[in-house]
Amino acid sequence: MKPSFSEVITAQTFESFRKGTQTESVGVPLTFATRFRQSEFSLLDDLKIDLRQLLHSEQTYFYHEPIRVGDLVEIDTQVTDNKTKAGMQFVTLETSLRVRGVKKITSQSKMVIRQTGEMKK
Amino acid sequence: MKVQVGQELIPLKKGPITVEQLRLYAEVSGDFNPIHLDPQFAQEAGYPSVIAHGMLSMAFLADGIRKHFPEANFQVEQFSARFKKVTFPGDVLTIRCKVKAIELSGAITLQVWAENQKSEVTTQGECQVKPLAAGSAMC
Repeated sequence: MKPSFSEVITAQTFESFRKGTQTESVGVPLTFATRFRQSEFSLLDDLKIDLRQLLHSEQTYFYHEPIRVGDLVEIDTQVTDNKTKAGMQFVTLETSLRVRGVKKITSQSKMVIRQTGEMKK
Repeated sequence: MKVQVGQELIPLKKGPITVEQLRLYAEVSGDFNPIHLDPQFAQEAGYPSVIAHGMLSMAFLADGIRKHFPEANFQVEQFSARFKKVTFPGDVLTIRCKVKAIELSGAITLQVWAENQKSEVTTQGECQVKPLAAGSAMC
């Protein structure tokens, strides 16, 4: 597991994410947890995965409780699955967002790592 | 208007996607994978140009959902997406949303997807939403 890091959520945090995703609807964007993907990339780096070979195949969010302005969000990411099948590597990363120990959002990212020489044509 | 199973909701247009948009998205998401930002790196990976972040398309799906099922009236319990085709700068995406099921509890399962200008499905997702108060299943 990657060591946790934390961030205080401000109104500006939400607003910049809304701007970056061109979100028109009101409220907290459903993919807001994406903001903390640097923890996933740090893990992928540890696994020595070449980003040129990486395909993000599937993403799931489980919403347990809302995140609010002022929350101190703690983020940790772990590898929950890592297997090789038919010459391809399949990695699943799970990121938890907690506030005062209470889980708010679980983010599950499924990645496929292509073998060298199997680049997209 | 209450939603019904099989009902397709008013679509949402996004794009054309721009390189500048990908740069901005990288900043707010922390996803600086050069495949989205560096044309040479993208070409080495076998693409003709940089490709859009899959999660940007998922954010568009999310916006389509929330336009019909706003935070003030609906709680989202789960939201998933599969990335089926890459999106390039210049592409225009249409976000579509269809009611797949409604449970007795009022919980609604939605199918959501993004189509590019060639009518190809690029991202396909599903979402479970629940009205916060009885009788608020409006769109």
